[in-house]
Amino acid sequence: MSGYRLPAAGSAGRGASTAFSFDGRPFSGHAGETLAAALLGAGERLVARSFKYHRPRGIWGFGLEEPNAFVACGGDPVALATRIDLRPGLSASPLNAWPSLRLDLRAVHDLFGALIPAGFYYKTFMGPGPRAWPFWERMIRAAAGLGRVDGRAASWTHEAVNAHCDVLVAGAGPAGLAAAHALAASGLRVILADDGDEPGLAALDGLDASIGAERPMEWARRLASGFDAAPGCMRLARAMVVGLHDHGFALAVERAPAPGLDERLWRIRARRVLLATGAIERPIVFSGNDRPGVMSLSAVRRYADRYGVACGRGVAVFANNDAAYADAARLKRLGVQVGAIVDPRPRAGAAAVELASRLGIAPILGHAVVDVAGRQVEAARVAPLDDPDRTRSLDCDVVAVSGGWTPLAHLHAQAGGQVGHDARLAAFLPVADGRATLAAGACAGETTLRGAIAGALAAASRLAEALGRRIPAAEVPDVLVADELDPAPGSLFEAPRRTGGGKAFVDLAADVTSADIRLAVREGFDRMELMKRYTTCGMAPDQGRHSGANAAAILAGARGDGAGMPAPTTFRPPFAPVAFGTLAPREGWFVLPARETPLAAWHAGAGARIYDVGGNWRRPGYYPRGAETLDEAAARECRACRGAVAVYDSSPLGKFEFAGRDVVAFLERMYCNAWADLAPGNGRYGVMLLEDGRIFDDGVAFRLAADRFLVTTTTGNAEAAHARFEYHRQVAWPGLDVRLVPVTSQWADVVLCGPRAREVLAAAGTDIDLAREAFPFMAIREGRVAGIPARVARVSFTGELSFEVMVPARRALELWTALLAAGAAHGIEPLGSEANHVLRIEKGFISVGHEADGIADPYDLGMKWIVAAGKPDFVGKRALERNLADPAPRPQLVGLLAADPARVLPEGAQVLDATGARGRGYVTASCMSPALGRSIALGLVEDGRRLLGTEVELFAPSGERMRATLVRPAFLDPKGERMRA
Amino acid sequence: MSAARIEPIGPERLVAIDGDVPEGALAGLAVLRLGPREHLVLGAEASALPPLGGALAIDVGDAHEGWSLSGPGAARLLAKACALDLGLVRPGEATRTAMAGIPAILRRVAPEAWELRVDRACATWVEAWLRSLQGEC
Repeated sequence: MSGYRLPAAGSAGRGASTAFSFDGRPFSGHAGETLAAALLGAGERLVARSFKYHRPRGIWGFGLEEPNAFVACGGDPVALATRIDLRPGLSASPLNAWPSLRLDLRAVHDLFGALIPAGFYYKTFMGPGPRAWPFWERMIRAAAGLGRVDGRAASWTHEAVNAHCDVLVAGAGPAGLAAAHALAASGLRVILADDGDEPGLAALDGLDASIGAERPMEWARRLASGFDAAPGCMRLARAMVVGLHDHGFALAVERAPAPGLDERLWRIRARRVLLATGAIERPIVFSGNDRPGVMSLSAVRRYADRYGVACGRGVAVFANNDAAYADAARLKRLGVQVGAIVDPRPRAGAAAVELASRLGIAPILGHAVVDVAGRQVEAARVAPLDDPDRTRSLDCDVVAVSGGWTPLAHLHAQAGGQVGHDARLAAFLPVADGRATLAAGACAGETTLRGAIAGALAAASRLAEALGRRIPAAEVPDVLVADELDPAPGSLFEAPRRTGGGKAFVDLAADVTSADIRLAVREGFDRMELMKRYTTCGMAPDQGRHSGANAAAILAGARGDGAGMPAPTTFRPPFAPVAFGTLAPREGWFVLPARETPLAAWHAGAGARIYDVGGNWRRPGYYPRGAETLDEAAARECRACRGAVAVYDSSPLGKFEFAGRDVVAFLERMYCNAWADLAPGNGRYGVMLLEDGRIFDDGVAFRLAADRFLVTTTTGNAEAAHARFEYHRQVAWPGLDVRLVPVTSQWADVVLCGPRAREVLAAAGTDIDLAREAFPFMAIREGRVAGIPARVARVSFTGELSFEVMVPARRALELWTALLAAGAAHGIEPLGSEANHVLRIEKGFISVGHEADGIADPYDLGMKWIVAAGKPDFVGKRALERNLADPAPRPQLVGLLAADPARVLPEGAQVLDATGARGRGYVTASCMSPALGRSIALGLVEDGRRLLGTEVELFAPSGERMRATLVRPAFLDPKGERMRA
Repeated sequence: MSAARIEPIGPERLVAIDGDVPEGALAGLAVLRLGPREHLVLGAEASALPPLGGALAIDVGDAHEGWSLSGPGAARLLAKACALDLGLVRPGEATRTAMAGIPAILRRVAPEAWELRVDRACATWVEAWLRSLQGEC
C-alpha cells in the first residue's frame, strides 16, 4: 500500500463516487478520473506483469507515455490504464498474468533471465531434430505477448469524417493554443486537435504563473473560446493526431466523440501543419527501475495536481536536471512528503538548490540511485558515482525519476522531416527544412513558457505569411513563472552498477535491459535499427517513446567509438495504436458498392439466386423452381431458350454514345477490327486490345448514323473501358473530334432469344418490321416495343435468334412484363447467367475473363478474321505482329470432349503435355450441355490447333487425372444459322 | 450535432452534353458545368434543346437518381462520404466527385442545401449508406 488521497481534491474536482473492478476485485474511484489515478488513490500499486519476465509492474506515468500499465478493458485487448476514463461498472483486467496478478507462475522466467537474454530464440531451442524449433516456437509465443483478442465480433462503433483546413495545429498546450488563436485571428481555417479533455492542462494545470494578467488556465480557456468563436475553425478534444502523411494529409482519432460512438477517425487535409506535440519525461536506467513505485516525477506531481492523489507516503526524487527541483517543490507544496533529491551532477543550479532548501528537501549531489529494495519500492539504495557499492538506504515508497525530456517529434519525422541532436537538451529536435510542417513549444526544444508562446507566435506568423495572410502583430504577453528552472539534463542517464545489482531496464514495455543492449553491440548489432530488431527494444505498443533516448545513449556508450549519438529509428504512423475498426469503419454490406439492374426487385421476387459479379453488379444466376438444383434450373432455362424462347436482363452491359467528325477514325484506332465500312443501321462485333496485344474487351458497336455510334462493352470492364476511351480522346489523340456520353444506366437491356423470339416480340407489339429481310442479323432499328420508345438490335450471345431491346431504364419492368406476357403461350422462361454460360460454351463464343484470359490475343483465339491488319495503326497492332513472329508456342482456343461424357471437366484443370509432368494449357469454361446430352468444355492449349483430334490428359485441381479429346471449339450450329434466321 | 434531411428528388429529365456549346445556347436553362466541355441540363430533354453546334446531347434522366440534402448537418454528412473540400463549393456551383467511392455529381443550391446525383444502379446502396450515417452527425 502506498498511494492515498490527499485532503484537497485536485483541479478535476472529486466527481461522484464510481464503482469499478480491476483484476476481479471491486474498487471505488471518482467520476472524471483515469483508471490509473483511481488505482493509485486506492493504494493499488501492482497493475501488470511485464512482457517477457513477468515481473510485477506498477504505473510509471500519467498519460500516453505510460509503458507498463496495459490492461484489457471495454473490448480493447491492450489499453493504457492512464488513458481509460472511469465510468460506473467499468471492468479492467491485467494482461499476461496467470493464474493471477499477484501470483503469476510465469514469473519463473525472471529466475532464468540469464538463459533468455535478448535474441535467445536465434540461438537456442534449435534441436534436437528439425521439428524441435516449430514446437518450441509455439511455446515461446504462448509465453510472451500482451493481451488476448476477443474472437467475437467487435462491439465498438466507428465512423470516419473528412475535413479540410489551411493549418492543422497538433497539440493544444500553451504553444499550440497561442499559435492556433493567432492563426484563427488572421482569418485562416484552422483545426486544433488535442488529446486531452481540456486544452493546456498538461503544461499549465497547477502552475504558479501569470500570463499577462491571467492565471495560466484562465488564459488557456480564454484562448480556446476565442478560437472556438472564429469562423471556419474547429477544435477537437480527446483527439490525437496519429499520423502525418504526404501532402498535409493527417489522421486523427477522436475518442468517445458522441453518445453511441466509440471512435471517430478524422481524415484531415491541411495546407500547413504546426506541431505542438510537447515532450515526455525521460527515465533514468538503474537496477530495479521497473519496480512498482518507480515513477516519472512529473507524473507524480500531476496525479497530485489533477486528482489529489499522492502516489506514496515518502517520495525520493532521482533527477539530473534543475527543473525537477521545481516539480519536487510543487509536490511538496501539495502535501506529498519528499525526502530527498538524488542528483548525479556534481553541481545543481543555484536557484534549484535554494528552492530545495527553502522547502526542507536535501539535495544529494554526485550520487545516484543504484538499486531499489523490495519487490515493490521500500527503499532506494543511493551511492556516489565513483563508488556504487558504498550504498546507503533512503526510506521511501516512491522513487520519482526525471532524466530530462524527450520531445515528441514523431509527426515531423513521419512526414519526412529530419531530426537533429541538441547536445544541451540531450535530445533529438525537429529540424525545420522548408517542408509544410513547423514545430513549436516543448517539441521544438523550448524550455520556458514565454519561449514556447513566443516561438509559437513566430511560427504562426510564418505560416500565415506562407498562406498569404498577416497576423496582426501579436505581442508576446508578459509571462512570469514562479520557480521556472532549466530542464536541460546532466550527462548521466544510466546509474553505475553495484555488485549484485539486478536488471536495469531500458524498455519497460518490451522488457529490454541495458545488458541486452550491450549484448547486441558485442554480437555486432551495433546500429540503432539492428539493435532494435535484435533486442526488440522500442517494438512494444509504446513504440519506444520512453526508451529511445536512453537506448541510443547506451548504444553509443557501448560502441565507444566517439561516433556521436545515433539517430532514432524510423518513426512510422500511427503514433499510437489504432483499432482496425477505426481505420475502416464501414462494415458488411457497406464495404463495397452494390450495383443493381432496374429489374433487381423482379429477379429477387421470382426467387432468383443473386450473384455478386464483376463490377459489383448483383445479377440473377438462375431461377430455381421448387427444389431444383443449380444444374437442373440452368438446364431447364437452356432448353427453353433453344426450344422456344427465353428472356434475360442484360442491363449492366456498358453502353456509350459516340459522335463527332472523327468518331470512325477514333474507333478504328481503339479496336483491332474495321469500322469505316459498317453501314448505318448495323452493328459489328469488335475487340479492343491493350498496347501489348492482349484482348482487353469485346462487344458489339452499332453505327446509328454516319458519325454516331452506340458502343457496348462487357459489364465488368465498362468503367475501365470508359477510362480508356477518355484517356485516348483527351490525352493520346486530343486532335480528334470525338464526343462521348456514357449511357450504361440510361438504357435497360432485355434480350429475347430462341426460335420463337420473333413471334413473341411481335405479340408484345412493335412498329418495327421484324421480317428477316427488313431486319437482318446484326442490324439495329428504332421504334416502339409494347408502346415504349426502344432501340432493338439483332445481336446474339446465345447463338439463337435474338432481339436485344433497349428502353429507358425506368420503363424496364414495363417491357419485361410485356415480353413475359407475350411469351407465356410459348413457355417463355427467364434466363440467368448460369444458363447463359452453358449456351455460349455450346456455341464456342469467347468470354472476356475466361478465354480472353489476360494473356490471349485474337490470333490465339482463332479470331484472325477480326484483325483488320490493313489498318495503318490501332492499339496493339505492333504487339500482335511481334506475337505472330514469335516462334514459341502460344495457347490456342480449342474445344474439349471428356472421355467420360457424364463427367464435367473442372474449370481450371491443367492440360498436360506428353510427358504428363508439365502443363501446356487449361480448361477455361466447362459445362454439361443439355442440347448435346454430354459434357463439353473450352480451353487454351499450346499449339492446340495442330493437336485437334488427339487425346490429352488433364490434371484437376482436386488431384484427379482425366482424359479428353481436343476438338474444334464449336459444338452446336457452327455456321450460325439459328441466330441468322 | 444536428441531423440532415435526405429527400429523394424523384424521376427528372436530364441531358448530358459533351462538347463546346455555342455562346448563349443554354441561356435560361438550369445547367451544371461539370467539366471544360461537359454540361448537365436539369429539367430538359435533348430533343427540345436549341442547336448546339457539334456538341452531343443525350437524355440521361433514367441513368441518375438524386437526393436533396438540407439542414445544418448536411455538410457534415457529406463530409463522411466525400473527401472534397466542400467549403470550396459555393451556392450555385456544382462539381463531380466521389461519394462513398462512387462517382457523383454534387450541387450546392444554398448554404445548407445540396443536391446529390449518382448512377441509378448504385442508388439503393448510396441511399442506405447515407441514411446509416445520418443519425451520427
